[in-house]
Amino acid sequence: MLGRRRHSRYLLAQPVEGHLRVREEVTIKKWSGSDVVVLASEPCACNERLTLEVPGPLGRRLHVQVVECRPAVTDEGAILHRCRLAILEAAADCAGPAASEP
Amino acid sequence: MGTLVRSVPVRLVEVSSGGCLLESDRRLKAGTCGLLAVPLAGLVHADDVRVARCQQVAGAGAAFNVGAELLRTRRFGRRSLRAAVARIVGDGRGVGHARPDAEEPQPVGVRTDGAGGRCESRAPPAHSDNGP
Repeated sequence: MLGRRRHSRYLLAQPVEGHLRVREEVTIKKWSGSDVVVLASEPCACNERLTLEVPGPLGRRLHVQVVECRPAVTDEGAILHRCRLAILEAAADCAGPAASEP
Repeated sequence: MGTLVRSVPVRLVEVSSGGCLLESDRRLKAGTCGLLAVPLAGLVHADDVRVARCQQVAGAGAAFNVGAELLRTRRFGRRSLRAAVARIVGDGRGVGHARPDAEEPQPVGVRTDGAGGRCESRAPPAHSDNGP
């Protein structure tokens, strides 16, 4: 790994808490009134709270909670994760999927 | 199609003008891109980052060191994380504490210069080929 770092590093005396927001494209397989089933490439932990953004002219952003996550094999042989998400509520900023990035 | 957005809690441990070292309770795949938001000096600074490496901390259970590269996809503004890092790196003065409510985050006096440099306080024990 020689030469990998080009810049001086500074160690903070006290780590600062923050958040990393990671986005992942998923395929929505089923949508009922109270829950959504999606196929994702990464597994989700049960009870984990996520945000689901649905594109389109009336883009929606929903707060969801993972109810169940099981591996699933697609027709092409790829292993994905079938996640059932309970819809908690529509996010306040549901006017557009990319409305409120800081 | 849809987009699933997950918010991963992280701790900012080290900074440089090109990237930062984070600690996380979750493994993050190398190549993962995301928006890193950190409160510094009363203001949330955010920038896109790309995970360059993720290593489990030995003996610490589910704790991972995540090396992340700061991406130049957003404007270098007041709320940019790169701007906050530039202020930390720029003064590079003495020992201090970085707290979210502090006036200005400060690094400790562990500066590593040049390629391949390492922080003495965090380096693993040196190996000896000669043996005891």
